[in-house]
Amino acid sequence: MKNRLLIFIFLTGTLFSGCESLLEIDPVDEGVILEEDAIQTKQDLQELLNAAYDVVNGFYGGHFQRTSELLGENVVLRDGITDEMVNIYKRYTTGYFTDNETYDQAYICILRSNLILENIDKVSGISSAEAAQMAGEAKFLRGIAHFAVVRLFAQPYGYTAANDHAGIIIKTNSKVELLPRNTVAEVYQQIVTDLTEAEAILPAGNANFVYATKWAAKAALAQVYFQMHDYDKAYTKADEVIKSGAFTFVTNFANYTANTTESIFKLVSSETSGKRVGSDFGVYRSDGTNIPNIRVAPDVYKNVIKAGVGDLRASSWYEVFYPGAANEYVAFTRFNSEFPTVPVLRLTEIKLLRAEAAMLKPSVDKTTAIQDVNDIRQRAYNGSSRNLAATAANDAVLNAVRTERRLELMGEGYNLHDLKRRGSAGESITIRGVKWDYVGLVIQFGASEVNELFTANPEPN
Amino acid sequence: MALALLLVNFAQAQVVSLSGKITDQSTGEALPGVTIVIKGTTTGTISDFDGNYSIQVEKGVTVLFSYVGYLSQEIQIENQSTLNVSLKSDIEQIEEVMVVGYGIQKKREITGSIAKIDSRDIGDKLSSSFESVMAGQAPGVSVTTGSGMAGASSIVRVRGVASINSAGDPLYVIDGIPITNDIFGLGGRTGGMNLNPLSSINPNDIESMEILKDASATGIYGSRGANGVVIITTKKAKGKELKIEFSTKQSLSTPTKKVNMTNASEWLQLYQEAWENDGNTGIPTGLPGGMTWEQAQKNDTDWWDEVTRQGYKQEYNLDVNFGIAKGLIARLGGSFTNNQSYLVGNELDRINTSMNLNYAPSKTFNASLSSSIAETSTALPGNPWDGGLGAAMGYALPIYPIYNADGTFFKGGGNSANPVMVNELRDENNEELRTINSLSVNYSPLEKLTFSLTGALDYMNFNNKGLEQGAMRSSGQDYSWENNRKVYNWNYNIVANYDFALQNDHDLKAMIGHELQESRTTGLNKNWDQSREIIENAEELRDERWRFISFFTRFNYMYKDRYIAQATLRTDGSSRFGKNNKYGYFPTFALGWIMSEEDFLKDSKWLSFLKLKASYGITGNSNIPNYEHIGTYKLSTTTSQEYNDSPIRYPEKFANPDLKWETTKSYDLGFEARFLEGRIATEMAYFFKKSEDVFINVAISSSSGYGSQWQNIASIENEGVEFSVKTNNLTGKFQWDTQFNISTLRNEVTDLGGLTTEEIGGGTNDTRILKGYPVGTNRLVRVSRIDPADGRPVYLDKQGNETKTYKFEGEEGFAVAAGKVIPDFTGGFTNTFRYKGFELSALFTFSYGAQIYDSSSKRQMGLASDWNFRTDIFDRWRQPGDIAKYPRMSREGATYGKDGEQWFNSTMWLFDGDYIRLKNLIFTYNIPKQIVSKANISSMRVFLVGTNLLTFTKYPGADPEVARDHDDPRDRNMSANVSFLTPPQEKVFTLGLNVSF
Repeated sequence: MKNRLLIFIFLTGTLFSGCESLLEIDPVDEGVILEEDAIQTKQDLQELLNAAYDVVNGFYGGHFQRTSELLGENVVLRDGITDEMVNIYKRYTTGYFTDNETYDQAYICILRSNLILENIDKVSGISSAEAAQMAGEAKFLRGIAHFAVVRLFAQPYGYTAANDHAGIIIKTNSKVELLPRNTVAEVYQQIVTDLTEAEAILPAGNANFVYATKWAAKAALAQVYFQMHDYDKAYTKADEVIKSGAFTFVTNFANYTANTTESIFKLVSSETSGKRVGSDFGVYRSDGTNIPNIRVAPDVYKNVIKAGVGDLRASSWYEVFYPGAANEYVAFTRFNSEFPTVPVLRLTEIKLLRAEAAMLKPSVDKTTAIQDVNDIRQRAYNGSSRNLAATAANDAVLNAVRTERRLELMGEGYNLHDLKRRGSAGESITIRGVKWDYVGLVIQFGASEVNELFTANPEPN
Repeated sequence: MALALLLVNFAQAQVVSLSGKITDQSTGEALPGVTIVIKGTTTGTISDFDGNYSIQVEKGVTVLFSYVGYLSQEIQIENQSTLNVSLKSDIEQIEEVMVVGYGIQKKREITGSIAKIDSRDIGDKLSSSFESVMAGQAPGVSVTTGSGMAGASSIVRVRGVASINSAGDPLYVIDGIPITNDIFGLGGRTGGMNLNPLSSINPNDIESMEILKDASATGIYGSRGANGVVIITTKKAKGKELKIEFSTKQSLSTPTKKVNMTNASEWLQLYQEAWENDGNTGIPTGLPGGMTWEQAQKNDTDWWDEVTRQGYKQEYNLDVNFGIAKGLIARLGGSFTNNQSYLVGNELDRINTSMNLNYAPSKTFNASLSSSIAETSTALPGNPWDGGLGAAMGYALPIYPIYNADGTFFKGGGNSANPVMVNELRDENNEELRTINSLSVNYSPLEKLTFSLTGALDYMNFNNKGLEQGAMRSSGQDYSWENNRKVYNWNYNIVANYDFALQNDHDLKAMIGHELQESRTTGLNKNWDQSREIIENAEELRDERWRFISFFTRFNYMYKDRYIAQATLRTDGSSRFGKNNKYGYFPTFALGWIMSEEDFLKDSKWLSFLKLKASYGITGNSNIPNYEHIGTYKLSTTTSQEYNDSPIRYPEKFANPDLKWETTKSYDLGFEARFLEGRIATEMAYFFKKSEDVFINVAISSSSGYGSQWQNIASIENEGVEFSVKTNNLTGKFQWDTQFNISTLRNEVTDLGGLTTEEIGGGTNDTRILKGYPVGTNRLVRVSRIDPADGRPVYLDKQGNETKTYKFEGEEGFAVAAGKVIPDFTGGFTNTFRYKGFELSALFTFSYGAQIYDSSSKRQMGLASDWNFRTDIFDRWRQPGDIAKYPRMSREGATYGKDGEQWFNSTMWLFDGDYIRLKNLIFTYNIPKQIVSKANISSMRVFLVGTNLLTFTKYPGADPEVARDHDDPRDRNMSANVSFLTPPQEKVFTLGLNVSF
């Protein structure tokens, strides 16, 4: 009996130990790889970098832009919409109805960038030059992702004198941990550091600008300095980009979504591969059976867009539906595309940025500003009829620059951040009925983000 | 002395011839086949076809008359030569056996809590999915039938909800194999109540269902037993006589209720009132659907009527039982079901075939092979999640026409606001082939020892496919898809049973076994978009694969036929567990005491049986998604996932090596008692279940770049009392039986590991996990009243002060736990009357004390938007002084307390969900044998069944017995008492016929 028991125990033991391997089942999927095997080679790292680029579409593929527009004064929301766009439009986002997408996707981009930086020394077959470039690209992406989030989820730079008001979490590693919010000053400092390092490393050309270049880093830096009221540096960076000659100003009209020579950093759809980016601009679309949920504010259409007689943009980029009827609305047409290209950074914007910076920097460069405005107007009016004279007053030039900047970038979200920048610089700015620093103009964090370390944004009462 | 006695006996031995007739005591009918044995010998005979017998006996002996299903009688023979015996049917069924895990046990010796449902209770109550018939029949088993869609699944919960993220369904075991019943693993949310893997099982093939409830019963299923186990035994071949059975059912169905929505003029009037209340004048504008006032006035569409119809179902079953050779018998079955529900475009067709071969060449060996094949095809309405009916209760406005003037479909309100168009232009079908096969071999080399080996395969090939016509797509081009899942689920188990056959009142049996189960699901999603350059897009999904390896043992000990002890232990290893917790151990221990065997009760006139039982045990739940403990990266597999035509890879989730099962510690106390020779039978049980390490799919801070991770975090308690009683109120010619059961439940989340409710995440329709409250408690702002002065809602802030501002979340928010998720009690009540061949049976189910959060009301009776109103809104504030149920009409959130808010999550939408429902009314007529036997028919039965004929409730929505469509298992746990545009259940009239040859 005793023997049998021993044999039984022995057999059971054998079974158990044999079972251990039966109980390890790893996912078998061409689409999945174990974490420990994922990043081994240069190619692996390159694919991770591609993924970091890929997720840019999650925030700069329309989400960031449309959220910015909804908060601002250019657009109205279609009646009867019932998602978080309503809260954003009404400037009353809550932990449950907010722009989670921009936030989440930006931090996913940041995680991927951090993993690149953490693994760069561990992979095989990578030259130091290649490693340096990948690090530059990762830092570029980390920088622009933080920049997207901080503009929507915190009061603007300049809201407090020391910029010690609450910003967002700076993530420079892949650790999963609860963190408090950094100050806006710290966040901008980190962004500038990342983009400056990227600028120093990145090459001048990189696969037709779907990857980051020196110029993309400079353009992004120009935007950041611009937002920081550092117009000197903003001007310099913009000027370097424009003067590089890498990008050509397009003189005839093109949709925002067209793949043009103006793109400094872009995301590209492909009908061949089925790749789609920029789908979040779909809320503007009015082609085919699309009924736009975001429409041009009627007064903006009447008083701003159509203000310039003969402005071709008014007729090319907008369409009035049911004119004269009670249900009349004005739709954007420049986002109508099944397979759009998204120019995350582009020459027209950088030109207008340079023009405004030129007028605002300590040593005003009116000539450049006028030239930039006139380039734009030449195109918009198909001729020089509305060009500024070289003798135009400073105020007139600045106004012209700002008008053109608003008209050219309509729907792209820049207007809101321009207004906040000017408000935080001391101008008296009202944005659709509320002051530029109204709490509702800052997007609320998702409810699960808030914890004992992390404070939510105040909500309007 | 002994010798003397023997001599005396011998001297007196005198052989007589004894004969007589044996009849049934209650009906007086002759009983053929009764065994008549002289006690203490093997001498005996059996009664003939007319119940007559004759036997040679010696005077003074005792003769034993016994017959299956009847109480045996012992009669001592004196001088009589004729002895007529009337046997009494054994209503106590003391020897009733029940299926337990890996074996059967006598009911009287069972220490666990098990409910049994017999085949007839399943077969007659027509339903396209068998699990719904458990409703109201077993205390502690809550069954909520989802909706009126064909094949809709039910939410089944045994003794409460002990899980949050993980599926809380019981384990379903058919003929020894835990079957695939994951309603979310088959490619998503395609049904009104999700698709239902159980709907392919033919209820007519089920012999019995045993629902194991407590730890001592479910412990043998270890890490998978915590949510209860439903053991399904299919019908097997019986006897070698040829027996043919045919049955059919024909049914008509309608919804249990038509929800009252406003018509066009009412809607416009309400809109105008909102418009004017907001301070506007003139003809209202901003109408949804881009319509002008004049256009809107021209239409009046009753969408409900457009998307519902009279449902019709038919079912045919044919079963044959026969012998093939010596020791080899067979049962073959075939069935066809067609179920057109009351929802336009919704129809289920199912063909089932089944076979059982039973080979018993000797007493020591037998083998049984069961095999079933089901082919199910379900056509879904155009918009499946709400049965195509949701739009008619919501965003399809009566002011919208179906067609434009030019005959094209009206699309002004968006596609989904024209359900007629969606039904027309969008086709979706589920097609499923399923086969469940099991082979079981039993071998007894010794009387004391039995080995059994069971191997089974449950295979499912599931296709969800559909076509969306270009006319409803932005590209204008057709889009079609086909999503395929194949599930290979197989297991084997080896079990050895040993009966120690101890002497002196001791009885000890042991069982030891080993089991391995593996399941693999493959998936392929294909779609064809005619607007793409490359039209076909195919995506192969990763295999979902898991394995359990288990060892288990059970000891049953009984002393003096009255003191019972049972111990079980199971060890489960699973591929789903993290590295640090590969094996779990699940012990249980139970005691029973059959008090009625004690001398002081044995001769009681009124008490015929009394058993007390107590158990403690640990069980688990391991419904974790596969690979959840493993850290992974994802790779692009199609060009459309690439970046700039280059492949990508990125982190998906990080590892959790500690991931393990949920642990439930259960305590049970109960008794079973029968009085007055079994005319009253009652059972009562108290349970307390403490579940720890409950999974939460924790929201990891988004700033980490990760989404969420499964962790063992929470604790949940379930506690309740179950009571059931069966009585034979009247016996004799007119019989009346009553069955009543009732159960209570307390459910409470007791620990959340410090997580905030936000980190855990809410369920659909504002349900929450809150410490100190039941799983899925609503978190709402309380509405105190409607201010008669201005018609605005008055809310209560956290401190209970009245305010007209609405502020939901955050530190200063007013949202508090509200409503009652768990009913005070639920149960069922059946009365059965029999007279001659007639039988009338009525089952009422009831639920009291729970509240339903109707998320549709929030929109149907909130701001004037692009939703239709329910006519309840007529009870609203209109002018100062009005005392009304609902506030003033408005289009502005500010009116209800918060600018910009569309919908207000408040207690205004919380309704009492009490109901009493006549679940089934069955009228049966057994046509007398004398009549049918002329046609060579051995029995024939016709029956009429009414399902959900009456519902008594104050709930204003569609149906108080509601389970909405869900996105995932968590919602099925958390959002069980919410409704959102869920189609009501069906009211069915069925005519059925059963014939046996």
